[in-house]
Amino acid sequence: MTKPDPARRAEAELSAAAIPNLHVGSFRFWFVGQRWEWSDEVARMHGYEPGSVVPTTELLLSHKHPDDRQHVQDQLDHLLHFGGSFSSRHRFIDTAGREHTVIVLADRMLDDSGALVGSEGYYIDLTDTFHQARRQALDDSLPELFEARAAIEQAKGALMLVYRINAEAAFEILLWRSQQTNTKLRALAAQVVAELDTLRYEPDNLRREFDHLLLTVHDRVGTTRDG
Amino acid sequence: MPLLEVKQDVRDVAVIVSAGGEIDSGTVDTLVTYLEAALEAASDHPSRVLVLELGDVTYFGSAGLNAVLGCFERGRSDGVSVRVVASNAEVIMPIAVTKLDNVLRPYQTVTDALGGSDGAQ
Repeated sequence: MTKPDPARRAEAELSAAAIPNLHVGSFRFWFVGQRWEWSDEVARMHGYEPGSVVPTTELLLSHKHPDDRQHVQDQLDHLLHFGGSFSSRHRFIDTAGREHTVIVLADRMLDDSGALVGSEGYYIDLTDTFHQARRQALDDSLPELFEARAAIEQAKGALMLVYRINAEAAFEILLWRSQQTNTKLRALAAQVVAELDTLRYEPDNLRREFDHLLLTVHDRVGTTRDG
Repeated sequence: MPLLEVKQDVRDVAVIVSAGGEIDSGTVDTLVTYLEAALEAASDHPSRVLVLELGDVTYFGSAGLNAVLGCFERGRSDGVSVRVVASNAEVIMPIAVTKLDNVLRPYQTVTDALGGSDGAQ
């Protein structure tokens, strides 16, 4: 049996390279030296051309929302006291004066000796891209993101290979599918990985077959697949 | 009630700076100003010892960690022994998880710090 039309329409969208309008960027922050690294996407969120500024504590302070006493750096300091990983909602003002609401997913960054040297993670910009309900859906899926890193990273790798995209775009697509189908990202990613061996290795068909897998995989979450 | 209060006390045996309250990116400039002045005072002091008492600190973020580390390193290059005193988890934990306790070697009490020397602990 072939899948009904909705999946086909979604496949067409994906094949037309309809990258979701979800902005995700990565960062690193070192506690000692208070040094930052931004991906190009995080620079753009703040209103800068990539590479045109060096992110510093002072620069971040200049983007602080006037109603907030602390800014994102103080939130990352949470890791100094409580360990683990965390996500938090945060807002800042870009160079054009627009308010952005982002979710910051932060994990610990350790050196070879196991010392906690900083934090690394993602900014997910929710500004103008989500209705409130969809924001809530994303919020709900956040705590599991770091619990399920292995499955998510493996699924990302598959997307990167098949679609020839970078890791961030792969993550965006997984998030997009998770939201659109109201399926937990962890379950979706694990199911993608579990089904990779159902794809026939025919390069001409691989992307199309993978499209179908990706766009229907949520229907099979929680079901056992017959060998 | 200010978020952060800092006091400097020049005694016969050392210059003692006590900080209480929250040290984050919003208040750290106040601490840094005091630490710079205290380093000046300690380098003119016969003991050349600066004790930094953090027992009443209620929030200690990476900005505070950097300020203290910066003070310690500047003291080392200026010939001033900077001795951190803290036994509260709020301060000890960030120093421990970053493994900066190998460098800062916090003392339990001001008395210990005054009796101690670099690397004694």
